[in-house]
Amino acid sequence: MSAPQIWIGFPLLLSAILFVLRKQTGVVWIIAIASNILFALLAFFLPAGRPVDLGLFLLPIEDSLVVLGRRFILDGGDRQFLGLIFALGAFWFGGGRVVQANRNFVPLGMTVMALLAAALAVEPFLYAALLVEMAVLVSVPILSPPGQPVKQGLFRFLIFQTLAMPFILIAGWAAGAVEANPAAPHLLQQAVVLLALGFAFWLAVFPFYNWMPLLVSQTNPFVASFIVLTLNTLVFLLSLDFLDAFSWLRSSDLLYPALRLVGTLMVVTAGIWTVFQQDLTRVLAYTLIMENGFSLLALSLNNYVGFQIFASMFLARWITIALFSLSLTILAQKTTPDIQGLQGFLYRMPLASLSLLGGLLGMGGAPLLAVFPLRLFLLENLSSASLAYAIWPIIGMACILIFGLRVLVSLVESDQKTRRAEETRSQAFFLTGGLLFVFMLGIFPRWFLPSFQKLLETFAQLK
Amino acid sequence: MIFQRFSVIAAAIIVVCCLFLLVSRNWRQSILAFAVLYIGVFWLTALVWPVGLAVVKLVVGWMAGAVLGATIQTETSPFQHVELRPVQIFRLTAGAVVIVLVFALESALLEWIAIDPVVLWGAMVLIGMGVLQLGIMTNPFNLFVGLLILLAGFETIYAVLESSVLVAGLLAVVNLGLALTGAYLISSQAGEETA
Repeated sequence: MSAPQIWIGFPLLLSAILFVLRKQTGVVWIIAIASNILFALLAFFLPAGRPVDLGLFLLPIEDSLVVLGRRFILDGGDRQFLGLIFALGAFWFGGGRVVQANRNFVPLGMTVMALLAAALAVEPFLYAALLVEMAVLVSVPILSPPGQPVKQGLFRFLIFQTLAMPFILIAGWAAGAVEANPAAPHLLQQAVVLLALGFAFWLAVFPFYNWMPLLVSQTNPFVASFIVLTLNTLVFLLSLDFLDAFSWLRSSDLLYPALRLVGTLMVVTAGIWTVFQQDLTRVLAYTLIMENGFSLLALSLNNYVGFQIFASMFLARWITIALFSLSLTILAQKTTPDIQGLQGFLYRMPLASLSLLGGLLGMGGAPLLAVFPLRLFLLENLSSASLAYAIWPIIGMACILIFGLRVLVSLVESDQKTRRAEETRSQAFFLTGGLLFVFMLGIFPRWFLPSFQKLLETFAQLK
Repeated sequence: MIFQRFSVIAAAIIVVCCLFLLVSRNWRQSILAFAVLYIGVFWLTALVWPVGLAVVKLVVGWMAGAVLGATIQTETSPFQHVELRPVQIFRLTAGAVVIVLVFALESALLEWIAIDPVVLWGAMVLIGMGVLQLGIMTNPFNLFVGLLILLAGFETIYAVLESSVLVAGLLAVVNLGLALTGAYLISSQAGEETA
């Protein structure tokens, strides 16, 4: 038995079984949630690098598995991340049932997660680009279920994500060449340009992010945000792999100012576009872009604190976006998801409305919510370099908060103030759980985040 | 070796097929051109890889073409709309611009990636034509053909840099996956139009 078999092989096998059973949505739902919780618990509690004592005998669990001459390694440092991914997978697949996501969501979503784990594990890590592309292809039937019109956003998503793969693969070759011949400036230039373009396509970096609002507004927002978040999280981890592996990249004079500039542009432009929106699904996309911008800003600090903030952001982002997209999709089942359509919904669907506000304001960095402590810490560190680096992101965040206030006014505004609660029990369960966790993470960040920073143990050079 | 001596023919095949794909109004002819194009891709790859391994590119390309072709229903073909001659002339001109651009950039590109000029030239034409298809075409068939052409161009360059069997296999899976995804979306679109 090996770790890749547990977190890659079994989820792939399970996704095939769930695909066969996909018409029995109830069964699929229960199996998916139970299995994701099991995978998460195994990731958190299974000891790495030593056999497991099963009472009667010792079960050896290897960290690596060799496939066609290449190694897949999931060691101790990866376990925290796997645990988080599968725990949130349980929440996301459970939420999928609540928002009546299409039948492909759970089985193919499990495949995406298994491919994500494979991309995390594969050595050399450059091959991860191919696995990411496979995950993108698998995600197409989730985003565009059979019988529904195919929209432009999906094509753009597919094109941009596919364009990234060649750039990353060739950048990998160029990076290797730079390591071998550090005195050649043209190789360095070539590697940096290719790498920058590849990651820009993958992460919807400014100015390549126009596909994201289209995709999220034209598909199920809950499903789209799951796919985008999953892929982005993996790509960010790959960026750490690159930084860890190549000393010339870590010591580059250009990299960190460029990350700071692009990150700031993403945060500011996403914030400004948000203010002018009516459609909340587009706002959800802009908050995803803004979060990517903040991750780049965290990387731009170029110190261990920056990497710690970067790693901690994953958890806060996942739970806040999950809450935002879940509540938005639930509300979208009853009304058009725009400012006009949401009028008076605080009295009809109070829990969904509060969750929407929690998610939206949380992404704007409002105090007491999950993202706030990390944003504060990040801005403090940015301001120590220069005050301007902190002021621009604050403008972006303020734009989101202003939009949040517009939504609040719309939710409260109603002629009929008879109170009802139209959410179903399962919707109420997931919304309450998400809302509580967002507050818990915001008020007691030290309960959750330090353990999550163990993720950085895998990257020996990022100290 | 025969592939090396007549490698210019491979580049010529690629240019002709790419231009034909830009202006074609008949899906059967387009699929045929797509299949012939992969002979050019195979030829260029065979210059740097063993023929046995390079054949993978040919087989995968043909399979991708077959998958895309099998999805098109004649009555809902994306080519049924009559395209005007000026549109074709525009596309042909744009294609010619791409070819000239690749000619112009060839020496600069050779400084970046020092490989056989014919391989680089053929690959860059494929990439340029793929980007052009993605930029000016709107129907799913052409978009996926554009993506596959673009990837074929990249793979031709990458074959010089990396000869791992695992990479060849994974790229084959990506190509077939792309074709299957294209087939899925084309059939979804067609179903929606006939409904």
